[in-house]
Amino acid sequence: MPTTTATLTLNTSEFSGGGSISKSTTLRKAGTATGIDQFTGVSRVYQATAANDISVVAAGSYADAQAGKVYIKNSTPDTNTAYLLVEMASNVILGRLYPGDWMFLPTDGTTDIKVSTSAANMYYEFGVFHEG
Amino acid sequence: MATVSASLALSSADLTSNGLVLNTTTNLKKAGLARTNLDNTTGIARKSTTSTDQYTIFHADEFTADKAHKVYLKNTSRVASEFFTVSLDDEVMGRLYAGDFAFFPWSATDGVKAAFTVTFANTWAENDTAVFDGVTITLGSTETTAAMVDLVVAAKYPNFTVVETSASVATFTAKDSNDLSLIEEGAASDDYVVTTAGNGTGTVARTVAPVASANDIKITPSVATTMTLEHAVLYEL
Repeated sequence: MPTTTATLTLNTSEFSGGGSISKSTTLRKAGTATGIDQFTGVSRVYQATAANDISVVAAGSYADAQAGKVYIKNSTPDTNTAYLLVEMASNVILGRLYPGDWMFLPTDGTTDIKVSTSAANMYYEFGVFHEG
Repeated sequence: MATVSASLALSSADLTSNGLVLNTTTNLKKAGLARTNLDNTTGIARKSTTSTDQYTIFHADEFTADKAHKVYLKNTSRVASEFFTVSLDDEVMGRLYAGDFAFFPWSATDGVKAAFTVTFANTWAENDTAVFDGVTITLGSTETTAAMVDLVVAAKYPNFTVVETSASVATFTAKDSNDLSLIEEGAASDDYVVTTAGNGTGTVARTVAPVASANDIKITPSVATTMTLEHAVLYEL
């Protein structure tokens, strides 16, 4: 089975007791030691005009109760304040990804994840690790 | 301003035929035009759970809405089958299994906090009382309505804040939008209880109906034995 590793590093020298934290995990299927073996690949999208409710994770496409992970990044150049609004299910707002920001979130296949672009000429990328 | 960088590395030699190597780094910045660095953090903390109840890890009310906050969560369990179900209020986001982490933006959209006024009138007598939210005000002598408002405003309530709106009116506001209790209105409210031997009155009127926040970050452990979640928010005011 494939071995896929995700590593998060947060680094700052300016908070007291700061420095760096680094956390790694191997992406495994729900409740097992078996590696996740399916991946959508990373899609990169150019959005010429602002658009709402672009599907990133369509829950109906995946089995429920799984240990999927979704990666999303606002790859718009950091020259403006255009943000990617990330929403769950029926437009429950999770948060805003500003240019350069990324997220890594578990998805269990029961909730749609959508994004909306706040301005024209935005780029974003996303990929889903899943169990089918 | 603090500089905080957040990096994600995704790698696999055998997930796809040509391997996977994805590295991305961003400096965490505030929302808006200035785009200065995020400069507040809760620090990394741990929460141990001992039941399968749902726990609220972060209350949206405690953070400014629609900023560029980031949330970090990690399940520290080493038992493969143990997971936390992570929810955005009622919406399930996903499951964090043993060792898994999450890092995501959070808008911390507030709910609407309940508010009501109490209008005091006439003269208040010695030993009259006003009871609300577990706090009892007992008069030591005859007081005017203005003095009564001063006493009410000076008290500390566990679940409400209170300010003087006028010489005869105090306005109470819930500290938490998830407090959906509707305070009974009128001069004989069962919730704001006035007891007077004279002719003093305290009349309650609701001014803001509460709406619960739909943006709290919650977790539900999969087992009732001890599990520990590591968590932090990097945020702006």
